[in-house]
Amino acid sequence: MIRQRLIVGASVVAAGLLVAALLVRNTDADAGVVSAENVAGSASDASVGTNRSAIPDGPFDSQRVQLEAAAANGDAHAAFRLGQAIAHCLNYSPVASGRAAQLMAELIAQAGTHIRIGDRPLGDERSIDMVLFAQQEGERLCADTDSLRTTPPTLDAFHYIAQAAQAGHPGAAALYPDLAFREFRTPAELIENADEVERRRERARSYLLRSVRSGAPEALLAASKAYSADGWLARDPEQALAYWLTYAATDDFRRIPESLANERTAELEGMATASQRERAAAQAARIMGLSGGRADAQ
Amino acid sequence: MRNDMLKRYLFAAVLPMALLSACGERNADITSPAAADAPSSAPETTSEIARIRETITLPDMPPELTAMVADTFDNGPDPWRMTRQEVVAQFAASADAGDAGSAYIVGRRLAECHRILREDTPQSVLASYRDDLLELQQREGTPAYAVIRGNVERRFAGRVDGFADCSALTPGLIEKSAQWLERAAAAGHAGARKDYPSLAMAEFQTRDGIIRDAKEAQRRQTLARGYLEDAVQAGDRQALHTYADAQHGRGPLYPEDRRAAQVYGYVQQLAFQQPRTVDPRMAALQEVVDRERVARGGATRDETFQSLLRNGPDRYPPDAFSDAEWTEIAEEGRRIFETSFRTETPGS
Repeated sequence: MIRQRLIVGASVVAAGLLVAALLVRNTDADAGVVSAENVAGSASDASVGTNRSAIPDGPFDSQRVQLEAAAANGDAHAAFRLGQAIAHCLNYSPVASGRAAQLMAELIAQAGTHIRIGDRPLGDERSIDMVLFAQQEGERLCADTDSLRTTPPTLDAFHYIAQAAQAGHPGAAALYPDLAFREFRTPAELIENADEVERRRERARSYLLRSVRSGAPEALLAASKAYSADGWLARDPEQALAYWLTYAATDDFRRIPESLANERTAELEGMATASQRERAAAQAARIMGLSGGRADAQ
Repeated sequence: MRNDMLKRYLFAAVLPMALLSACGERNADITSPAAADAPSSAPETTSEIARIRETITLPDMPPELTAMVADTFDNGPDPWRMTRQEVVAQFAASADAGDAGSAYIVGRRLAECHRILREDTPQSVLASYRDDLLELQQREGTPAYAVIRGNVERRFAGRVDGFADCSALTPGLIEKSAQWLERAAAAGHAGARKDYPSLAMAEFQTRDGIIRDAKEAQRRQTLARGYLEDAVQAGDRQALHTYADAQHGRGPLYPEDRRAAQVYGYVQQLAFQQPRTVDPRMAALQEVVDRERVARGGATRDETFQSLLRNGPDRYPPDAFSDAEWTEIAEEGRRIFETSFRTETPGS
């Protein structure tokens, strides 16, 4: 019973965090959050350069009060850090990585062929990579966030992310579409609020494209997803592939397990026609060339 | 408990898949008829599917059915069995010229592609085929084996062929399907009005699909509700099924209405279980089925219906409504059933 709870707990957290992790820019090995200064340093869009935070990145719990005060005073990076932590870590319950691997191994041994993640069995190499990767990302992103569980925040993640995205924060722009529509819980609610949904979608699009111009890896990844077959923008296999290939040239990309990254590349290439693939590769090369090997304005 | 755990595990695991495997889904605007410039799935999946598909031969239609179909379509080809490219070639021009029948055929065949391209991806088809084969192994040596194997193969071939068929269409055509259906429905085409609620909303089955074009989703939802509610009022059982199911709020047609879901779910049960005059051969079969049911300690179809009519729906979950509300739900269900779905007068 306890073991089952642990498995569920670990997998829920791990899975949720994988999404988070892939949308969040990895900076230095232990920083774990976006450094607006770094992004701004490579940005061609001047507005992104306004994201300097008065608070240097450090352990969340000990900085939380400061971050809340700074966010209230318009500090975009502080707002982003708060929004990101609330979005991903509010329900986090840590499971030691060794323990997670062991639990997963037991689950695979018991029912590996009968449990599927998407279309593949749990015992598949890619499923294992994904769950363990998500576990690591959870540890990285939600370290020092216990205070969120003991003293829940009064404002929600969307409040902070909307503030930061509006101020031009690229990490927030990438996270914005994941949070902007959550309040419309059902398909019918989305439709009932069509005007507001379209307003937020257009806002999300403009934040995202501005951040793509800044060369932020998390924005490239989010743009690739938005233009893909199940994305929230008009489907465009060429753009989806071009942004993915550009993202693949960033340091962040190396965090994704090879099996998953290769599969995603093959899928996106499979979605595009031969001429779209050619144009996407050319566009990616152009973006990288413009920024001297780093993603930049297209 | 174990099942619950697995479900939760899967639910959780699907989240990251949405990101990493987003392109498992293929959709309308990625298609191209030019083989040299066509999208291609992961090569190993595609070749594996082609290899299996080659081993499956679908049986021809029985000659009497072929003759019947030929007669129905004035000896022309059956538009429901043509490839979609053939359907477009044959019906799109007349549909555009205002022929409601053509608009319905081309609209419906192409609108089906939304679901097919979303659900019948090579990866997904191959995975469920392998699952089916695993289950089939357990039936080896039983009388049902050959039949089930045939079904598994037919299902696999149908999904593979459907996906290939939809993938071969030129970009933009699938999006246009809703317009054709809409024109046919506006012209009063009964089939189009019946299918509009599900097919015209097919591209809004995912949250991102709605976000992509929320105002269009809203416009179509209004039309779809109108056709659906008219059809329910007129006693159409397919519409009743769609309407009752939609009250659970999982799809784009209606928000959740737990009371309406109970009422219309009950009407649906009554409409299904009610006694009806059938072909004498079917009546004989019903007798056999009834005998079997009674032998197993169950009730005959008629007894089931009478008890359902008398006692109202199963009160599940029991605490969802008060006693008085459950009674009202039963009364409203009976009234709708009697007004729109009773096929025969009691006692006749």
